[in-house]
Amino acid sequence: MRLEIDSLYKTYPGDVRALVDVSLNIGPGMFGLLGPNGAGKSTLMRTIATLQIPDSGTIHFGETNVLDQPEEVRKLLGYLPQEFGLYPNLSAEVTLNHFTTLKGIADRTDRKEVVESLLIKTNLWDSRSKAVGGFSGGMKQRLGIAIALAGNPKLLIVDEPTAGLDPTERHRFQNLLAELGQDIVVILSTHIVEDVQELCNEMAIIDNGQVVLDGDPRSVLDEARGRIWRKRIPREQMAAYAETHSIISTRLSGGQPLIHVWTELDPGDGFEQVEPALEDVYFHRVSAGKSGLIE
Amino acid sequence: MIREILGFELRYHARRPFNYFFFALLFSLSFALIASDAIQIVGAVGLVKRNGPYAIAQLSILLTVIGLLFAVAIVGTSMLRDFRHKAHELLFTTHLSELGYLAGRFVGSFVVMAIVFLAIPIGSFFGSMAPWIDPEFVLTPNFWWHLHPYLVFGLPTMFVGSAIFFAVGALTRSLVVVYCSGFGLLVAQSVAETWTSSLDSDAVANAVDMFGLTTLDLTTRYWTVAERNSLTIPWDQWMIANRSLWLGISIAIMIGVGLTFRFKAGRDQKPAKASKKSKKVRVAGASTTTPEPVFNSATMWHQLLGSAVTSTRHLVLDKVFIALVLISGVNTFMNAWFADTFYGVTTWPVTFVVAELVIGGFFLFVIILSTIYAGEAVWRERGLGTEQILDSTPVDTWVLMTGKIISVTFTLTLLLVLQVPVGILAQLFKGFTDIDIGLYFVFIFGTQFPWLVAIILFSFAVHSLVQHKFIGHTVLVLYWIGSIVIASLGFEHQLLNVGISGGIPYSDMNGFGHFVTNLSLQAGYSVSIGLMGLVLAALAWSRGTDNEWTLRVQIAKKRWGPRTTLALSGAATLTIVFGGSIFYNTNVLNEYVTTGDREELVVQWERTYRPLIHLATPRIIDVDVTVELDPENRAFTRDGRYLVVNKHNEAIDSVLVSYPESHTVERFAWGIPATEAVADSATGTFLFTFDQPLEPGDTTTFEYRYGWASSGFPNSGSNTRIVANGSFLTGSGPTFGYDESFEMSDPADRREYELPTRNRLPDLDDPEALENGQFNIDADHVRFAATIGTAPNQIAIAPGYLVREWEEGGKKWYRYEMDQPIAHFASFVSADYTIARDQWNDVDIAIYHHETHTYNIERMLESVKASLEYFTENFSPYQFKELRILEFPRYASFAQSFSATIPYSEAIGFITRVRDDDDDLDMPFFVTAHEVAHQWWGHQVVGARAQGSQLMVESMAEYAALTVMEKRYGPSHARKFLQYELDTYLRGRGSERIREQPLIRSENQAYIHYYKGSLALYALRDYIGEEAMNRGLRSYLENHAYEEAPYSTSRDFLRYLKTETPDSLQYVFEDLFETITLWDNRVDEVTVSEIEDGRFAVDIHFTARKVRADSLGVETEIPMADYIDVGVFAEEEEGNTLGRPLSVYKILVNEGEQSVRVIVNERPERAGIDPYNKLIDRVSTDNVREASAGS
Repeated sequence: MRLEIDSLYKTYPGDVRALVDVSLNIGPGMFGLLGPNGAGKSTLMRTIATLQIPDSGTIHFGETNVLDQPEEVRKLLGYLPQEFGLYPNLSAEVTLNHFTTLKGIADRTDRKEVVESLLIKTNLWDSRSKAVGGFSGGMKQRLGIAIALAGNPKLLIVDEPTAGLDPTERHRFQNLLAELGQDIVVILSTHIVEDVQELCNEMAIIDNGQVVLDGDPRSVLDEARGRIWRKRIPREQMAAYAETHSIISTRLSGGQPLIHVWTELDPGDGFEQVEPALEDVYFHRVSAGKSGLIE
Repeated sequence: MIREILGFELRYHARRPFNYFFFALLFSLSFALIASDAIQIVGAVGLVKRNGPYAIAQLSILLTVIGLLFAVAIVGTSMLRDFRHKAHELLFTTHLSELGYLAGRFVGSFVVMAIVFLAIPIGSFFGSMAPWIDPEFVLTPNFWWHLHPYLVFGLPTMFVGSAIFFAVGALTRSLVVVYCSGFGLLVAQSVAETWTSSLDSDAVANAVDMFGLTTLDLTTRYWTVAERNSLTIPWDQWMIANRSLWLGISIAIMIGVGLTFRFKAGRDQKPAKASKKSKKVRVAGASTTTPEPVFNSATMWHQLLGSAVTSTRHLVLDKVFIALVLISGVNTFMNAWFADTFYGVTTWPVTFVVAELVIGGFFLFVIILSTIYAGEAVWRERGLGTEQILDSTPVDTWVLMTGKIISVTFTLTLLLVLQVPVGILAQLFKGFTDIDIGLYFVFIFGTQFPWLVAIILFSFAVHSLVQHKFIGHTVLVLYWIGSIVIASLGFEHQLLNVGISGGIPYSDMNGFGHFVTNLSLQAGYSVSIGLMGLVLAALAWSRGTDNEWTLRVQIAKKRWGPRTTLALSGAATLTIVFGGSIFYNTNVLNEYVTTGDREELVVQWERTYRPLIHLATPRIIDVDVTVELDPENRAFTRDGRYLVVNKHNEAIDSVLVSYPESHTVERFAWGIPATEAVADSATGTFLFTFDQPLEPGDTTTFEYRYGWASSGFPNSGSNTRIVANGSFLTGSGPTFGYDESFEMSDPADRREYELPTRNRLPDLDDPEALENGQFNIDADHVRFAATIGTAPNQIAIAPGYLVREWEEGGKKWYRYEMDQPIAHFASFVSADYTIARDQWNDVDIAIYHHETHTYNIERMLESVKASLEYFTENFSPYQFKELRILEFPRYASFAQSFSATIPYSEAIGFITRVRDDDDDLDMPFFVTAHEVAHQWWGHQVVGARAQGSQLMVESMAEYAALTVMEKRYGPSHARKFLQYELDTYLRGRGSERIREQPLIRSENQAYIHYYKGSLALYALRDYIGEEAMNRGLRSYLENHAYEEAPYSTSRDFLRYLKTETPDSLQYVFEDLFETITLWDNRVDEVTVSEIEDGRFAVDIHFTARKVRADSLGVETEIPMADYIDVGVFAEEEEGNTLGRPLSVYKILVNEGEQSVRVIVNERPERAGIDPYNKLIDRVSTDNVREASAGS
């Protein structure tokens, strides 16, 4: 089943334009949604997750019209919001059992099996009877994904799942997602570029409510190949370089600014060409139209 | 540093809208409590003005207590907002010191609170200047009176409250717990109040009351009207003790917090222990095909059950619930423990007494908790941040919502049910084992549960619609306040009482009686309205993150389906069916009458018929009445015949006939030709004119037949006089003439209706007043016979001797006849009785009682016999051959004496528990003696209908009963009783509505004619001796028993007693009966020295003072030359804390400081002036002092 999003618009009170003509066509596999904070990622994801109504536009998941039949989509949906809390005085097992019931696994033995398998899968088996209130951030996040996975969702939406996780946790989490992204639609939003590079077979960059790029990460990189140049420059010359080059990123390297620029032609002047990273494309796209530096 | 934090704190609070809202709320409450007639203040009773210092002090304390509940939000947020906003770690790593932080926050929030609470004095001050107030209710505004209680009660209480909230916040770092502590304080206060009220220790009661209400009461309890209207609360011993104690406690708390508070991340971030190496229990099985979700109705039920169980688990496992169980448990236990105590009288802890108080007393709890829990349940996921996960699951909205509703209902019902074992425990501890567990559950599920459900549904609807937690709660609070206020604004229809249980009086005799129908319909009505709310809630239920109204309307429209229509119309139909049935009963079957309507009727009656007040009335001399009761259908008819005679010197050409306006008249017929000039069924008044006037001395007859039958139930004031078991009707039939005692009596009400001021009773010296006896204007004494029919399983009793009983027409009939004229005042009682019989000389004694109410039958029989004995010997013979006591249901709680017949409420006496220690007053014995005494005082003699005549009726009955009790239980028992009487009299003075009168002129003022009456007569007996006293009483009875006009007055009565009094004591009549005189006697020092012969010289140094008070209580000191007891006492005896008397005798005392030396044979413990409190003394506790060794 594919998820088809067609010209979605959403404006919040106070004329904040969260989504502007967003159209995406997403097939099975991992889909990465990149964008800076406040770009509209969460709005888009909540809209797909039936939690918000757009001003206009349509969303279809397979044959189902998401906006008209939210209750049908919910039967196929797993959703992990960016920030969430759980009942602090209930244990992981009780919490998961509860949500598994809500997800339609009514049979007691079935449910027991699902809950156990998810607890094992998310490495929470040993902590299953602890109250959730005492969980660390990573444990809570894993329980969140277990809840999202309950009931075999066909559409899994995870909003910034790796934010705040330590590297080990993050790795474990990525593996878990990669395993799932075989035959269902998984939408992963993040502002961590590596996540997308490592996991996704499709991606989009969203900025200011607009889709500024979509495609598969490889062809995206192909597009940038040969156009990324870098140079280490003295700090005091930053302003001068900014005027003459389209700098996409600045990073400190050994205490000195290392700038990446996007250009079709060799800028000369001691710039060396580098193999593009997704990050370069991302910075190029989200900085397009902005004059300032992204640090 | 502190200044910065403080400044920051103040600026923070200045920006919070809540504080302004709170100020406005307190302002309007205090304004309304003074300015509005709808909401009456407790303090301003009778002549006490609404803006007088006393009333304002009371208002101020009450509002401070209410305000403290809101103030939790100020203090709580001050303390906890850093934690809530997770800023504490940031803040705690700054250079801020812990003490500086705490002090800044505390002082800041206290200052804010103090400013907000200024709304109370300001609001009440402006309230007192509202232009629409009746000027009689207020004094010239004086801002100091408003500010003073704020300073002496408000600020210290706020300080204590803040300290406690602050400490709780610092310890738990949980806002919910801080809120609970506010609630806990109130409960603690009520528990303390219940506890201390039974303790009889003023000092303890004063100490434990952190709000100062008890302090105010102790300081002002004997204040007169004049004092209440002019004095601010002084710093007397109670005030100093209470305020300094609590100030100390709060400072101690603050020091404790200061010592223990540490900047630390707190317990909220406790990380779970790293999990041990996973054992990978069933890794292999985990990856096989997993079950797919199924969506059908079975799943839906599972989801509903799952939601309900999870939500319940969340609620019940919460520490708030545990705290509630504990708090309510303690509260219930205290309530149950003291359920059997009313005004110092103890009853048996029978189940209905305990259940009624414990379960019924829980309703406020239920309202508050339902509102809070519903709000929390609606908002729970959004508070926790779980809402996005939950809302995106494939669950029907109504399943989510219903699950929560079930859990809240279950949790609160659980809380209710948990009170049952607590109540039972209290019963068992009291040694009562005849427990009716079922009755507890009838109370829970019959009188609470449906309303609990309705309130929860209603609260869910409001919170779901409003979508703002705080506004939602405000809406609900306003609803509850509104439903209280609305009734006092004249909207009294019970259909407006949605969500409030009307309650239901229970009687062992009559069960829940005829109230069940009404209550069931109310339950159905409230729940159906709740169900409509449920449908609305489901439509408005927020799912997802959109909150704009337009979108929500859009969503609601989308949700509206055939199921919604069906549910809504179903609930609406139920509402109409239940509401309609109520309306049919209250407005069609019965007439809907408001309090205002009733008042207007009385006013209309007075305006129309008062001009006929001087119409001479014929006197009834013979009554023969047939009362046919139909207890099962709650109906009766009265069929009777009067023989009347014109005892006046003028001819009577017309007669005003009155009867209860609710009755239907079938027939009024005179024995001589008469015309019906007026037939006014609205006020129950007829005017007949005789074709030929009834000449002086002529007789004729008057025949009547009228009745009453219940149909359905009325809106209020259901008739409890005719019930399935335990009917109690009074009166013998219609009355003649304009009886002004039925006029509107409250002066404020009369002003409102522009009626002229009236006297409560004719003047003592008004010669016209002597024409009528005090109870009837249409009869003196009558010959009496009655036939009474009732259900076959019941016994029916009327005054008279039973001459015949038979069965006819499915009814049991009884015929009673009196062999001598009696007061024109009859009772008709019928119930299923058990009879206890006894005999005194040739008088048959019988107590007709409810089968199980055997607790005090022996005491009552003893009392009847002792009374008959003493009264016959000392007053005059008992006039009847029988004396019967008849129990009636507890819809009313009094006993009343009819000729040889005493109806006696089950609420007093029958279940009273008298423990055999000397601390308990034997109330069944006393009340019985009082009623028996009325056979003399009230039946043998009746005073004129003028001021003071209650002296010969109620005062004498009270005094006579006291005397019988003293003979039986000894003087210390009587003294305890007199202290109770003194306290009641002194308290009563402050609630006087018109003017205080001396005994000789009392105007049906109960606090005077009962309590001061017995004190004065007892004191008189003490002065002149029992024999002289009884001689005087006997000769009054001899000369005035069974008299007709001119009737005797209190002046005549006292003349007989004066005759028996030596000249040197004649002055006491002026002090005790003819004026309002108070003494202020005080012992300053008692020293003892042993003298040569081994005896002891006791020097009593004391101060004496005597004052006269005017009708408002303004006192003027007068010189004194009074004979007053001095007493010297040895060690305490059982039941006598004063000690064994060594020497008690009267000395002549003048005003001022003085001393007296008494020589006694044994070493004394204490001594005093007027040690038995025979004189009226506002401070009765300083009359005796411990003796100290003298030089």
